[in-house]
Amino acid sequence: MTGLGNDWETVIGLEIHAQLATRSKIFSGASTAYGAPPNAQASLVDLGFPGVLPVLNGEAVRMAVCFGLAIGARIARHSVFARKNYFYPDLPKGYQISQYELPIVAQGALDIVLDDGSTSRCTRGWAGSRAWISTAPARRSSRSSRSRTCALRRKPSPT
Amino acid sequence: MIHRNSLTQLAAGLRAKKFSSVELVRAYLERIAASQPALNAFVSVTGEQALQAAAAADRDIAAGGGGALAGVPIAHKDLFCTAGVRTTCGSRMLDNFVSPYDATVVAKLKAAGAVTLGKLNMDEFAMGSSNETSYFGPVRNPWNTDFVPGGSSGGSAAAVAARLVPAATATDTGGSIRQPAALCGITGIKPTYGRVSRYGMVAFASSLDQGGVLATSAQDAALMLREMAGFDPNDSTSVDAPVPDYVAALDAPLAGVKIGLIKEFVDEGLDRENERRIREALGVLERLGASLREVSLPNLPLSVPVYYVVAPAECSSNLARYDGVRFGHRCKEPRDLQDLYRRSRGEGFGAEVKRRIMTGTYVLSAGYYDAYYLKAQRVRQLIAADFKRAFGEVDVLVGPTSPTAAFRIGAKTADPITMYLNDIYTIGANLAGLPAMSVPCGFVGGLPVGLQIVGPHFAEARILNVAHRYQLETDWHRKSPERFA
Repeated sequence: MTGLGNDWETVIGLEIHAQLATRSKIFSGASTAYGAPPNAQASLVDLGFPGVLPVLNGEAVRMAVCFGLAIGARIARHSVFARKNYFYPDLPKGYQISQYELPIVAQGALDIVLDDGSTSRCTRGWAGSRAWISTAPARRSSRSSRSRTCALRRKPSPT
Repeated sequence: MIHRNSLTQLAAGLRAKKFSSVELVRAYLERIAASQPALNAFVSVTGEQALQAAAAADRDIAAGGGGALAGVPIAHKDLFCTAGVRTTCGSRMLDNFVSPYDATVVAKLKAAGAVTLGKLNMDEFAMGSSNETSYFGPVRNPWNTDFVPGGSSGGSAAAVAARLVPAATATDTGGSIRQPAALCGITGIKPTYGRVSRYGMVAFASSLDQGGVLATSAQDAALMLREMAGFDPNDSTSVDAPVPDYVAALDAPLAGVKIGLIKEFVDEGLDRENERRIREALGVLERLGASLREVSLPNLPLSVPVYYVVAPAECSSNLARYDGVRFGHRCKEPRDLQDLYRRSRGEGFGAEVKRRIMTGTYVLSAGYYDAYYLKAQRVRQLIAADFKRAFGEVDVLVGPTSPTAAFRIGAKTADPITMYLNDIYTIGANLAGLPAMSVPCGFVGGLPVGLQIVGPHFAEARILNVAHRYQLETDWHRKSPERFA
């Protein structure tokens, strides 16, 4: 990189969100179809009404597992959802239902063919392996479950 | 004197057309209105809807139809969502909240033909052991209105004890069915975690909450529970296992049944007179052929500290949705988003709820999570393991339900720890997810006390059977407060 001498290279990590093509949402029976009027597809579960409970969409899990298998990932036999708690106007329940430890899919890799014909291997890692009771809320933390990196890394010194 | 009948007798009487549901509902509505100033058991009374439902039940019965509870009046703790009728959770936060849907328990009891007379007062968001934290004022104990009815299902317990309804729904997170049952001299059952759907039951601590019944006998509790229990696709923690006929299982003889008295429950914290009532009850069970031994659960005394980490943690997360945006209390003229959150929640929640939200937020915060929440979860597993070991030796465990009989209103409000210790004998069953009940076993100083019976997972039929055989030999459960005779 210019201005920093010649001993730095740029390393960019990407957080990629992909939507699974399920017909209903991941924790409710509401439709995922595009084009409906505002709030027409917001169920009581989505709105976090008192007393409602999430029900995991089996098809979403099946698709996630298929994706994991396609990228040679580790598929968890026992997976845990956790709550990430914070207040925000677009967050009706005051928490996200996310995965922190023991996600369904972890540590896969994807080969990408570059313009020059060479391949680049993208890997994805998850931290931790500690289990707790799955009905419990997650620790309160702003730490994301996903790695977001855009960093400068020192080149190995040429010895 | 129709209210002297049990739920079972009322269901049979309706079916035999000895009286109509409309007559029955009118009689109970009168009792509710007459007792409300003294007891404050109800938050909402839905007389008009009840009379309509009763008329419909009468038509069903006349046509030879109707469910097991056709035409029988009941009432719901005010945290079961009821479509079109407000569900307050005893909180200013939900003072004007009208749910657009029925809780599964509400729908199931409706389908069985039960007629709902109204919604019952409770500690705010089910947090309390005396029903003094309700925004709608304390409920009073029908045995002596200067005393608390217990909590958090205090309205349900007082209403059943005063025969304002033959049975009521309730919930139990740390003893909220069993402790008020004991303090009001009635019968209550908290089923196994997952036995009764939690869908539409406003969440306090999701891994501990369980819906159940308050009634005047094990027989009536069995009838109600049979209609309430079962798998619900809307509650992923409800268990997909067949529901036994709890009523049919009531009469099994107790000969050969092994009963364990929990050693840690007859400790120095237990009132001596209360202990005598418990030992007398155990004598009755022994005479019925049960064998009795003392069993030690060494980690059980840690239940209270474990509970007061786990329950507030879950409550702090579950109550985050009350932010003034979509439903519930919203402060006037918020200046900005932070102001909306702060004032809506600050005005909407009472002191005990705030205390638990703060405690829970603290124990879940980064840096304290391992030291408090994770450690509490580990101790919780040790307590569950103690129960498992004990059930390798005995069929049911017994002990007192609460350390003392009811206390005076205001006596423990200044010191939360003293209040929390009321649940010392009941919390263990919640932490381990076990079915447990309380049956009246006598009086201490003119106020009722209860015998607690705990069973292994899904052994509701067994504990109801032990309770029923005990009630065939005793008449404590038939006693009702004179003032509401």
